[in-house]
Amino acid sequence: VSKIYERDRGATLSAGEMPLGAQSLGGAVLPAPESARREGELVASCRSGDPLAFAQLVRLHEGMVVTLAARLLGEAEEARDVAQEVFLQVYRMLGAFQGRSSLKTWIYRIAVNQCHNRRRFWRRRRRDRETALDEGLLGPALVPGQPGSGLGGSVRMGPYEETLRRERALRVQAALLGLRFEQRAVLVLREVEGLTCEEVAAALGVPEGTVKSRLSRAREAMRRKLRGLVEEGGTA
Amino acid sequence: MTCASVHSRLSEWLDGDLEPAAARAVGAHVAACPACSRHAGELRAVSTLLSELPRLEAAEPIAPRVADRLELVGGARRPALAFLFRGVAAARPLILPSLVPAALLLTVILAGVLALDSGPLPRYGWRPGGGGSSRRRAPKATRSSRRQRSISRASARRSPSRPRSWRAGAKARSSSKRSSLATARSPASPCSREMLRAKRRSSRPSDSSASSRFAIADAGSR
Repeated sequence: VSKIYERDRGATLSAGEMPLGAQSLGGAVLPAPESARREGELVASCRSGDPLAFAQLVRLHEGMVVTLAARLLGEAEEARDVAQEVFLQVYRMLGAFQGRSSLKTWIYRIAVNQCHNRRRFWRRRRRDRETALDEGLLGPALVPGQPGSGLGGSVRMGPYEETLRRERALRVQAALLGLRFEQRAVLVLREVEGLTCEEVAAALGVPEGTVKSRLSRAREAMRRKLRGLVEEGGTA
Repeated sequence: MTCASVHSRLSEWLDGDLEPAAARAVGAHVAACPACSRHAGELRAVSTLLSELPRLEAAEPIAPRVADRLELVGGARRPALAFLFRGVAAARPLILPSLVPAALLLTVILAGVLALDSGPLPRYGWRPGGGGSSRRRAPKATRSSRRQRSISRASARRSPSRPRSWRAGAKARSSSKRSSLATARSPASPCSREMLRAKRRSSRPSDSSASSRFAIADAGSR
């Protein structure tokens, strides 16, 4: 297995050589039934013990898991550790995956549970009070002429805009960390990850009505915490 | 529709999750009320700010690291008998290392108890319900006490201490009562005969005690 991954580490596999197309499994290119079929094939390959298929599965979902964990925990390095734990658990529990929800939702659920456990671990050791805002959460610095990350499309940003963006991201992240974990999880899954309320309910294992009420309270709390920022946005 | 009821539904209205009639009512109120319109704009801005947060990528691919860890967990570095505990170790990774010192401690305690317990048995053992230590010397037995003990032993032999059932227990209790009365009255038993004699002597008016009289009479008969 390690030899295969060593080969994989050298990025020898291009999208065309992959056993299952990574781009197609992203969900945006193919229609939903085709994507679900490919997902089922990928899960079946992983279950049969194909290490390449599992590497493919990890590569497809690692970005979303790292982003979710970073937003829920507030530390980029911790998020990467949690992401490893999440995929270890995915590997162990793939046999129990019944396909009632999508694979993505199932992985989100494991990730949220892992983040919750990690947070409880911190609280027992009183480390959560010392958590400072992590610069790693701001993402790669956007150089002028490079497509903006999360800003949609290609945005040319000057140094002033880049500084403003980073400051804004820090304030939003600080406000997120001030929420209760349940509200934070709902808000991140809905607003940052873009899941529907139904998918959020499946990922958290709670009724849809609970998701909507938590979402409403979380948005209100964020509005109060980001008063200066949202007033600019609200009047704009 | 009041502003308070609109505020409680604004989040759902923005997501398009309200019923058409309710959505129309909220929309009409927001269009007419500047405060609610501003509130809705601020909530929309919160959503925009959150969706603009940058997406993060792992600094280096996670798949090889996960593969290394899977190799470590499931590879040849495991001990030979680990397959017996694979399920337990997967569920609670720290349970096996914590069981080893516990097992050692238990062995040491058991060895200590056995080493202490291997000495000579005490001469006068424990008496159930009697209390006191086993090393205490028993009082010197007098003739009367020996007699009393033999009577109590005989009655204990006759009455079963643990009846098998309620009915059997009741039967056993009544029979033991009857037999104890019979032993007290029947002249066949030498102990009961002596007791009756002693009772008769003690009932006579005298200044000396019944027990001393009994002892003298007993000595005289010898």
